[in-house]
Amino acid sequence: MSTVDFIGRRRLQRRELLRLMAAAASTGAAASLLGPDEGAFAREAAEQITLVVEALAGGVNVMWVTDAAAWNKTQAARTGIRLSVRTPGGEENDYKVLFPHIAASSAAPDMCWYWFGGSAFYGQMVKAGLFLPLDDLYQQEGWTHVLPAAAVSGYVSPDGHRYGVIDNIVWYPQIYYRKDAFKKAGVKAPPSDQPYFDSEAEFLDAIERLQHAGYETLSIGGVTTFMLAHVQDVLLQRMVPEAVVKNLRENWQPSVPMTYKYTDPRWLAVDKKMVEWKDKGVFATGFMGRDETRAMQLFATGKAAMFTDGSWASGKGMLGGFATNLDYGWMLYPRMTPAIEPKFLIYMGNAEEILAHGKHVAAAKTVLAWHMSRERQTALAQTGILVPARLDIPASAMKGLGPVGFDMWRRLGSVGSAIGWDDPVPTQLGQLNYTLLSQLMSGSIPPEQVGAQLQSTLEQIRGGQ
Amino acid sequence: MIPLLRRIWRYRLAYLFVLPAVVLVLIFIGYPVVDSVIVSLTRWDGIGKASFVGLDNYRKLLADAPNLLNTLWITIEFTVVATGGSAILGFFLAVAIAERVKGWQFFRIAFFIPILLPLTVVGILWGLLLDPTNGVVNMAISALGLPAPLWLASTSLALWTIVGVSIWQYTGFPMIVFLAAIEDIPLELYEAARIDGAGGWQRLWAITWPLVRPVALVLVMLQIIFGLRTFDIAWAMTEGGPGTATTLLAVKLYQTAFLYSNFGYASTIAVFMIVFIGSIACLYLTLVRPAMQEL
Repeated sequence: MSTVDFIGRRRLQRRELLRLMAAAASTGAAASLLGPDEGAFAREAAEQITLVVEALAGGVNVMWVTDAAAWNKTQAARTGIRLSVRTPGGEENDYKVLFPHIAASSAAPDMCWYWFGGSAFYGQMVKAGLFLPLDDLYQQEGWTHVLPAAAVSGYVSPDGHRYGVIDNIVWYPQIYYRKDAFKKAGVKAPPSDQPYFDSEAEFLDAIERLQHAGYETLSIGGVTTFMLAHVQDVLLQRMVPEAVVKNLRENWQPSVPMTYKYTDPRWLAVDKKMVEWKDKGVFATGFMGRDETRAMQLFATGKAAMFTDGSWASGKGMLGGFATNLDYGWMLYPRMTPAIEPKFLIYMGNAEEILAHGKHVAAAKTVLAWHMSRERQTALAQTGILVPARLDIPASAMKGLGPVGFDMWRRLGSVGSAIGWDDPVPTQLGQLNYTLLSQLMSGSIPPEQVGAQLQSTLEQIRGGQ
Repeated sequence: MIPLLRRIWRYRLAYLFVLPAVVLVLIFIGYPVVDSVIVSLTRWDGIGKASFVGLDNYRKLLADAPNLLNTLWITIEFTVVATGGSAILGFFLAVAIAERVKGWQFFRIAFFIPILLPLTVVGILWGLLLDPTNGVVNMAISALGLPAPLWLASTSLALWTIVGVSIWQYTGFPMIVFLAAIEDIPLELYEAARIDGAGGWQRLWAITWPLVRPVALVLVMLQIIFGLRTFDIAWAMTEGGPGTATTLLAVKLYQTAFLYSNFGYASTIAVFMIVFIGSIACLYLTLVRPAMQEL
């Protein structure tokens, strides 16, 4: 190659390069003018919108992904609305604390799944005007008549509006047990019509037998602090009269008299019982270093005889999904005192909301009405993903929950249910309780200090701080 | 003022080159710092409107001194051991690789790979390995007939477990830096020392260490700064628990802001962290400056 050729080719290459750069720049400019979403659907932009729903990973996400597929197949062409599900990263606790900031930002979705209640940030989000009032949908769709009365009345915010609607219910915490482990240890599981040991002594006897048979006992994720709080909640229901729990659940409001305090011996007795159980080996070795998933793995791999978690654990997102060969049953926590009947603890805070500053509010209402319809909720129940909150779903549809899920569901009525303390209390109290329980169960602080710190925070909340 | 402007004009091209970096620093460091100071003077839940509370958050910080000191102590323990551990191990690995020990190519890559792993992967990986019952580590220990430790569940062990994982993950960084510095040392120095009868250890302490010391001093300072603001590894593995055993300063900041929804007080902790880390860095530089000037 001569020098002239080389220079000529270089010039040509440079010219080509410039041309290419110009083409790339104009393509980029055109793409940015169109916007990230519209670019892909430029032809349809005039008549179609994309509605974004943000839903926590797990059962809720599977539910929305299923819904989105159904909607896009059957409704998108007719309505001009396409449904897209956005899945946040991280765990449940991350979503709980980070989503409020996403909702307040320019990256907010049109709709979301977010907890109604105290230990999440629903109240603050309503106060900040992030959610759209749904009163018109409640009336138009007749939700007040088909949803549990407690959820319908509980969802009224202090300003008299409803900003969320419950679409599924969960109950917590149950004990899932391996049938092979119980058989090997000679433990007889409680009967289905009274699904709990009739005394703490019977429960502790089962624990001892399982230990002797070489099993880790009750697997729980101590790193996932809400799991500890759920055990505390279930012991509260079984050890403390409902009048006391109710007052402690509600007395953060200045209008409710502070009849009971967190320094009350009855509250402290629950925390003491948790420590006592830990010392007696009720919980699996090293539980304070495990999260929910690893606690479940310990159970699924056959090392632990029991696993404690909510009703969602039997669903397809957890035990029902990956442990297909696992032969397991369920029971409730034992009776702790003869005077108090053990009950399911029901949580009715799994709610859907529409973002007030979303781009497509009217479309979001259309989709939410469809999602909450009897037909759609029945279809979702049949897939076994979650338990619909609607009371008019045929029982046959619930068989989709699988044998364990269905059995728990059909016992709800006969065993009865109660509301826990953990979820209705304000964020500051609920989150502080998580931290304190972690300290309590790791032996860093005594129950009295837990009570004193909760009481001090309660008084600050009542004082408007 | 005029001489300054004249100077700027004289070196305008140099200032022009520096300008983009200055603008970026102002946007991504200057603005957040100033904003943190402003937010620290407010009561704000991160969602609604903030209200000005003056120095209330700083008073609260002082009142919370015992807890804060505990967190600070945990952070210092973590930083000192993790920094020291990774720097010392990194140095010896670099020396071994520079000496071309058998399989040095493998070690050079193997010890660097952990840095490339995302923190969540590291957290899950070590969480599984260190599980008291199901983990490979404890299975091996139990097979030897030794008692299996509760690596992440024990308040006395969790911090040191995280320190160990941190050393495992970050040793590759000092290793590569030391290796580059060692490979810059003229071979003639080693040959002369060898002719004079110096052994391996003597060559290490008389030639290698003095010549890589400036690199080590800078490296340690960077590692200290990284250590003091560590959040990810502690959060990914234990979320600050059990109890408060692994609650580092940055974990406490996150918990205060996001879990307790108290961004005002969290910003006060952030301001405290900036002052504290800045002071440590200044103190360190003051202490090591004579040593650096000697070289």
